[in-house]
Amino acid sequence: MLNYKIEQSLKLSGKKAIITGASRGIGAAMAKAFARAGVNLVLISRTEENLKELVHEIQLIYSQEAPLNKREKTDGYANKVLYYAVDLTDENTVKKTFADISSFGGIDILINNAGKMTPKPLAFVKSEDIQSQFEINTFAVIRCCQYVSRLMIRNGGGSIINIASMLGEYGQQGQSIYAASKAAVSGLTRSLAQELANYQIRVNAIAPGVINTSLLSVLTDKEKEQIRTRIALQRFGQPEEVANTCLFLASDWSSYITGQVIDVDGGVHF
Amino acid sequence: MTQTKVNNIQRLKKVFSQSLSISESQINDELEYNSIQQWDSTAHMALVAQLEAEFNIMLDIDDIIDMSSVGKCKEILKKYNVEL
Repeated sequence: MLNYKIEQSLKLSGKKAIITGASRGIGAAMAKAFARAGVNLVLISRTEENLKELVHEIQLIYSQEAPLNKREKTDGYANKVLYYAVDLTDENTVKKTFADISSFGGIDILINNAGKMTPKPLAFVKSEDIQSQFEINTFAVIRCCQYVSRLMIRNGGGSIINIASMLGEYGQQGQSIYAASKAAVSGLTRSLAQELANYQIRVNAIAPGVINTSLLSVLTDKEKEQIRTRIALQRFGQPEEVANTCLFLASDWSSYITGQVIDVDGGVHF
Repeated sequence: MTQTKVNNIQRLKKVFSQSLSISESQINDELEYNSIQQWDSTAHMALVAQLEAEFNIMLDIDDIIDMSSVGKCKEILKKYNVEL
């Protein structure tokens, strides 16, 4: 967690951000970090149950911290945090969601975090494995960028942060489809940065390494140890460390950075 | 012609004028995408964003692609219940 002075220096208070895949893990850490920085949030996830709990936690953050820093009230978000339980692979649903969000005015920040991983050796990969991973990891990111860019243009600019992956950069056995879908996100990021710069929209990506989330529970202790030895910092990352990089890329601290894929992986080497 | 229609036409002209940085006198139904230097792909996206903001709508991707002239734009906006 960043200290109060650093959060204030980011000058994100009163901005509006959309975070997809927000209900748990890295997404939930991002939501809390942005809430502490005073950002008004739209949280998107497929399941409502986890989202409700998170929203409750975030409302506590707002209620505890708002009086301390005297945050300015902004138009639109009466509750400062909204949530939508939607399937981002459904194009019509995505359109309706962004249409609804647009009634609250412009958006400053989009974090495309929702993702899916189905590890399998190539010989066992079914068509639906390819389709489902690309649908959420790549196509949904493209759709969200399409809709949010128009909301950002209204605002005079913004910051899009796509969550790519270390696997998209380096690859790994059994992860060919996931890696391909995330490599596509890196390419999308670099190209959109060129295209949207005209509108003062910056587009960057973060490629997290091995982050300490529930996804790690599928690994044995031996597998975890093997992975840990390949990390220069000799430990797994924390979701908050990815969230902190997001705060940086969302803020004016990174005002001259666009089209970059930033590795947050503790110095992984293969 | 209803007052709403007159107002909406004026609002539409203003959006085109501001998004494309041209005078309102240049705007007529025959004005086409890419027919003037100012209405390029970059300006087209700004135009779409401003139309959506002005009329509180969210356009389909197909409609954005089809918006090839001011006249066509009016046709498309009617689909979104904008009286023109």
